[in-house]
Amino acid sequence: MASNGIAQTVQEMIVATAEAVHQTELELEKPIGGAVWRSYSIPRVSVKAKFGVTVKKGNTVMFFDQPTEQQLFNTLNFSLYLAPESQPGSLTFPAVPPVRLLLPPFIVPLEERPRLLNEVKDGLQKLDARKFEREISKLDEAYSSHSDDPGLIFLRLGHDTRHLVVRLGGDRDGIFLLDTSSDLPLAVFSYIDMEGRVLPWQPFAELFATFRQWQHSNLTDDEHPDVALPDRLGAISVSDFTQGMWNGYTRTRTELSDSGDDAFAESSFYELRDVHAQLSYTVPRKAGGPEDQGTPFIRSQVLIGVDDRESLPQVRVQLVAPEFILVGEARSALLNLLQENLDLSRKNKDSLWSVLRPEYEGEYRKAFLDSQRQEQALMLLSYRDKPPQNEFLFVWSGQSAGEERDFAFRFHLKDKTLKQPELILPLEDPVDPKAPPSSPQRRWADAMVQYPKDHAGLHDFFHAIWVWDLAGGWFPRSTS
Amino acid sequence: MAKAEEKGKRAQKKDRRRKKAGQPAKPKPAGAAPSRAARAAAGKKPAQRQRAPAAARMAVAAPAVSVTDEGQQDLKLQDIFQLISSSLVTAQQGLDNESLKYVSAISDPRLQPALYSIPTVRAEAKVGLQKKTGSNLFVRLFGSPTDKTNYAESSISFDIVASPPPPGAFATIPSFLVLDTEKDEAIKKATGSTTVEDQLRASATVFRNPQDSSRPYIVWIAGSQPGAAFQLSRVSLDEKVSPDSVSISASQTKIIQILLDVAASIRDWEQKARPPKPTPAK
Repeated sequence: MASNGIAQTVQEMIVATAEAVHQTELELEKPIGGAVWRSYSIPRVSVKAKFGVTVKKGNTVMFFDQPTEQQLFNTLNFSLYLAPESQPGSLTFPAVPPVRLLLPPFIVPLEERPRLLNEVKDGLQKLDARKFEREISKLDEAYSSHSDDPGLIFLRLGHDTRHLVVRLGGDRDGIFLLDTSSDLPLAVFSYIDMEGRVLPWQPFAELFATFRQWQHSNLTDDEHPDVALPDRLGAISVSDFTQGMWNGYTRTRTELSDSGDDAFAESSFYELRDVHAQLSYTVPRKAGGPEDQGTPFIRSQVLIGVDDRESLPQVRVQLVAPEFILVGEARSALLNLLQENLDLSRKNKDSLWSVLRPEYEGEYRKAFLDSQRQEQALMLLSYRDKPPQNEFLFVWSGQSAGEERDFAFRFHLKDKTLKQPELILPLEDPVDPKAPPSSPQRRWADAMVQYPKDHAGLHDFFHAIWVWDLAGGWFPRSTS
Repeated sequence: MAKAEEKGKRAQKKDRRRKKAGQPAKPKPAGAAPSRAARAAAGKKPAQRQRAPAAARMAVAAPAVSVTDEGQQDLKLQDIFQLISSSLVTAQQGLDNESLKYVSAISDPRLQPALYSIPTVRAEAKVGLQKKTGSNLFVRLFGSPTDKTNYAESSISFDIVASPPPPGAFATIPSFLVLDTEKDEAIKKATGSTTVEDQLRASATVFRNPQDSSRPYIVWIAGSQPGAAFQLSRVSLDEKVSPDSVSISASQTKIIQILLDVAASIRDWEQKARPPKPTPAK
């Protein structure tokens, strides 16, 4: 079993620590002599072990030395607490861990996707079977795709009944908003044979609002009690590690108690608590990842922890953030780079100002300086091909013509600076970015965005989601 | 000062030569004080050589540290705990001694005697973990800059706290009574022997005698046979100070009996004050 290597290492680490502490505790319990009764005790030990994961002879194993650029981001934590009695609770553990899976609210689990696809196809047939015949065929093709083009992504829009479905590939991407609670369950924004290259911003605005809400609520995830643990989340082998950690945890609990054959606890007991791991993945250089790995901007994070508050412990598996949305340290680092870029002169071709209209500089500057807008800003991956590259789509909010609006732009990260700015959606005129400044502005609710085939921002952003999905375990796809 | 710096440089040169020759740096026992040369390099005047008092010896043995070819230390996980624990115990024992000196020195009746203690120590060690054959997990304390490139930086943190006496034990041992290693050292001085057998330890009672700074211990040793002589000694743990002993002749039966009764009462109390020894772990 692939998880044996992990299980053994986790178990050995915890047991070795417990044994070491126990031995020292026994020594310390002896009074040290002198004028006053005095002895010492170790009531708590916490270990934070950083490790890498590799596959050796078919076994997934942990290693601690020879750190790589990725290894430093995996940690295993556990604590041992001195107790007068052995740890309460049952020592009969199931072989397969009871899992609580938590995902960001916009992630759609595998089990739900076939249903959503069928609902989109049904909706298209009901709207106009002939008109959408080729689109339906393209949807099937994308769903069974094993490459980065074509692809099909599903995103939940803050509510169980509303989903954005994006088909990537061909001359035009398919963009659909599915609302099963509505009388008109399917809204079609783009399909393979559609004319024109300008789309309403509204479905994207709703998606970005969902992201912002999630970001604002400290990345709170939704629990999926009926969803099976996937093999992978992004490129992280969660299934393997979860099983390994569970095996290590249960074996250690048995060993620490006084009922096991190999129990070493006799005069005092240590309880095993706070067992959790943080797994991160970033694309290493050798796999074609970005050259600059100083700050890993492209990073998926998963937390796996044993929840032992109940008598039967459970393993909590939480996808903190998929790689296509930057959070935490990576987001802060990118924000700093943007601030540096905003200090550049308009004459510098890498300056964002060089692609913004000078007459609206005041509005933009105000938006960038507003700390609340900085907190709300979204920083997303947006690149072509694979593996992921340091190319980012920023979605910011500002005010123009008395209205709250979004604006969006994209940057490449090279040599630790942001370069090649591209304006995706301007703040000032969300209808036609190429119109002269004197053109009348429309209401924000009617905002449109250019979405040609080679669209630098949105298509590439959806592509980034698809590549993440492709590396993951939702579908039996290879990462090559 | 110039001399001291020169000494330090010489020591550093020596180490460099060793490294160049592929030899490990001279291993230093765990817990050892820095060498005179190292202190000199740091510009510190070497302290006057003093023999550590018996009480300052460790109750928790400091681990023997294995030194690798690169001169770096590989420790077992248990060593980390023992290193810190033994240091704490040593420090507390030193503090106890100093507290007693302080208490003895108080002559003003308005001042209350006070004993000082270290209630808790929080340790956090940055280490590299290494999995070796079998289930042995080794740790490398980060010292050299290469450690960070060879190992991922893990951490081990723990607390050591003073624990209350076990139920039934006396909370306080009288300050005049000397026990454990310190007692053995005083007995050795009084008898001139190099070891203390259980029988000898059982027949001896050691008192602290802060009034006499040259010989701060009084040792009573009852004869092993009934009617044997009773030895009384004033001793110091300083090697240079010889014990001042007097023997009460076996014919002084009344005096000896009184002394034996007092000693027996104290030993009886001493036994009760001790908690049962913990069962060793497997």
